[in-house]
Amino acid sequence: MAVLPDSDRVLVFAYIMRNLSDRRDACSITKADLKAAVDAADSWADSNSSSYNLALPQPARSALTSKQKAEILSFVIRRRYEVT
Amino acid sequence: MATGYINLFPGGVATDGSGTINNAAALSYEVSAAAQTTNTPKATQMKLLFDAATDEHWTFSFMIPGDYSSNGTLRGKVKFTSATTGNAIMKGGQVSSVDSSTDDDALVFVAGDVSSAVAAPGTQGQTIGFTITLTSTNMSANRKIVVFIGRDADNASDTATGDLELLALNFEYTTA
Repeated sequence: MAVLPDSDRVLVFAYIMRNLSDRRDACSITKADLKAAVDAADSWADSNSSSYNLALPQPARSALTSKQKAEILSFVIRRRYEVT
Repeated sequence: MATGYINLFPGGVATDGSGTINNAAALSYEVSAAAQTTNTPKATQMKLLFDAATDEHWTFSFMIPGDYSSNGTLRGKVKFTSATTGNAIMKGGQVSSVDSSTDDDALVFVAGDVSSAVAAPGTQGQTIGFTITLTSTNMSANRKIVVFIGRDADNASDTATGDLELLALNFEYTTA
């Protein structure tokens, strides 16, 4: 899987800004800096997808779909950082 | 010659989302989080939330006062929900109806005028002011006018993250 197209990255960027505002979280960086962080996170996820897959034990690694594996990672990270 | 004022917000109506970039700001209700002083209610106010990624707007229609002579300025107060750095760019415009001449069913704003950069205060919850000088085509005493206010979120100089909250807005003009 390649990195997300920029249109999808922009959707993620807008979603994060809405969440920041909904939670009234302070944000001390500009939109350009936040977008760069989204881009970097997506690029990192793309570069490290094989590493994550190899970290999963069998039989999960072979039996689960890519979407199911992504869901595991997504929920684990959300739980670790208490992101709602 | 003096300055006249009309209070626009709270008030006005949402744009309906049809057409292009005709999105509406979100009307919201804020109740102060602070402890109340004795024998007072909580400070409560209406506000408009303008998105950081999509241009959003709000409109007002009213009669230009009889003592209008010239000029037209929108003056407002905002705060930033999240941003403690960066700038926002506000935009506004007007279209005035000339009796027995203008087709009021097909009004088009004469221009999208923009503010200077509105800098986010370094601390959440602090307000900052802005002005927009309106292109005053057809503005005259006792004419009906429609004014819009918006955030120019896709302007390259609009760099602040998260929502901008419009708390108050006046229309200012020079009297005869």
